[in-house]
Amino acid sequence: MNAETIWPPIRLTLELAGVTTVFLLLLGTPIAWWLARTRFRFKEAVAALVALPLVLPPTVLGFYLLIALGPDGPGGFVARLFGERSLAFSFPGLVIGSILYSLPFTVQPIRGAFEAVGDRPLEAAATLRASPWDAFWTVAVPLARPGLIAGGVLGFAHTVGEFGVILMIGGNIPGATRVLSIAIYDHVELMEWGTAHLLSGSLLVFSFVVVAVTLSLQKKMGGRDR
Amino acid sequence: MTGSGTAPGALEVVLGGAVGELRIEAVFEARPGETTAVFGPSGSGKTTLLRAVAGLTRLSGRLALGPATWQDDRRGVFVPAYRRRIGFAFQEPALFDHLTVEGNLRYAERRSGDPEGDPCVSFVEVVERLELHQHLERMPAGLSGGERQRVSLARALLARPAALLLDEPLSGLHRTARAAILPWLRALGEASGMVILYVSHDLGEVVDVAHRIAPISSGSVTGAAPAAEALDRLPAGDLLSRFEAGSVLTATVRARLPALGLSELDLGGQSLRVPGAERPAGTEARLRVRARDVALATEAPTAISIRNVLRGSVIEVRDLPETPFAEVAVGFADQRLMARITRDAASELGLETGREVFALLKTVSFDDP
Repeated sequence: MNAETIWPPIRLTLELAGVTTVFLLLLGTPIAWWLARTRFRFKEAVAALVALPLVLPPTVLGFYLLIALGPDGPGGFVARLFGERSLAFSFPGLVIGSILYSLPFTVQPIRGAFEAVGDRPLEAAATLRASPWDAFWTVAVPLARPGLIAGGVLGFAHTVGEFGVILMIGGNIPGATRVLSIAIYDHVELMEWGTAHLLSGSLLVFSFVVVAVTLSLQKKMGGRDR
Repeated sequence: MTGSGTAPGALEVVLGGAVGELRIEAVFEARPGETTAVFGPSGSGKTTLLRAVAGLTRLSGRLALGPATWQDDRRGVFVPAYRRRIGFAFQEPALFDHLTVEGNLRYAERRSGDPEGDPCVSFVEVVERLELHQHLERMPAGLSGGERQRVSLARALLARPAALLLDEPLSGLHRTARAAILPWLRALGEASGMVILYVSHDLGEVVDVAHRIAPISSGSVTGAAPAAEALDRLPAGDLLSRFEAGSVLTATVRARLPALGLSELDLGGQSLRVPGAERPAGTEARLRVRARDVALATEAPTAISIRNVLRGSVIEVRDLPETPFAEVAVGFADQRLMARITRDAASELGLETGREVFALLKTVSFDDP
């Protein structure tokens, strides 16, 4: 067990989860807002689409992503604009896959928080001449903050624990796509129990902290009535 | 405000439509500088109407505040709530829970428009009159219902509205606190020229605050009339019985008795003594008497503490359904007084139309601020 085998996957994992979380919040917040506020008849169908990765086997999601990101898919088209052949087996490809895979974990708590805010504070803001944009930032977001934090934390944590999708679209390229969970798998394959223990134990503690923080945030949110 | 034309800044309401089970049909005008009470029982559509004026609920029709058209379906105009110069106090105050009381007030103040312009009321005055100074640093979640309502009213005022829309804004306050706020509110409207729409089902509140009353029943409003006139026209039956019933009497100040803190009043040749000695002799005063503060006797009572006894005759006795009470209308000169007594007492005294009675007034108060 040495530093050169342990740290690159950890660094890559944190990078991937960090970048993914930023995109998750940028993308998930408007989706959650829309789902919480719209009266669109088929909004639950849209919600189901967002939630699909919750039940879909990661390999299935990964398979379709592999095709989409590959040389013949839209991902390949985008990649060629940057002089590459494919988005599969690259860091940007991992980010795209992770966003899709973790989206429900971010959207759900944020949507719940926006729904808990309700109409009233936004109506009150409107009667005080706050435009919808103004009211979103000065009323909805502050009131939904615990949900936004929970969404970010869960999205981050879920990305850290990702395995199947990454294996399908990223493979196992050290320094480029070899993330923590895949590194653990490798160490076990190679019977390097010590390293596997260390990494797994760290993830275990990390996950526990994440769940504890999220639950306490949700409790705080539920305690704030109305 | 006596001209018949539309004064600049009047709120014209022509709204209709169905919301759930209820059909709303409202046609009335609220004048600037006046408080117009939308008065009616629960479930009569008061709140829906007020929300439609604010632009929070969509009804069809036309709505204008002076030169500003807020809604005109024929021309496809609908100004969203946040572009209307309104202040709105919800019956269940919708305070921002993430801001302190002061934060809530400043939120309104910052968005109230031209900061150089003359506000209808200053931050300092609002805080003082609504007794909020010791609460400014607190979070709304810790406030009592009455405190929340006061913050909500203060916030609506600080939005510097041209039309102040109030939905039972003081229902959580004690009568005494309310009695201090209502005349101030009414005067504030007069001074600033804003339109105040005051929704309430409480007759006492309405009498205290309103210049005009627009009665609403089953969603229908057909106009706003001067308060005294509208009160007279209220159907004495089903509408009144559900409220704190009472009467408004007109009397002339005969003499001031400052040593006793009383005024002596003349009411159609009979005399009354009422707390308060500010009014000069010879002026006319409106008095308010709650029906439950009136007792009846068939003989002139002697040796009792009640000083105000009026002699009149029974106009009507009406049972209040589902209660042990009856309402008795007593007439003297050309005025009429309501008394609420038990049905049992009414039958024991043999009260019937034309019978001479003595009305004992436990509490009488001056009505106007």
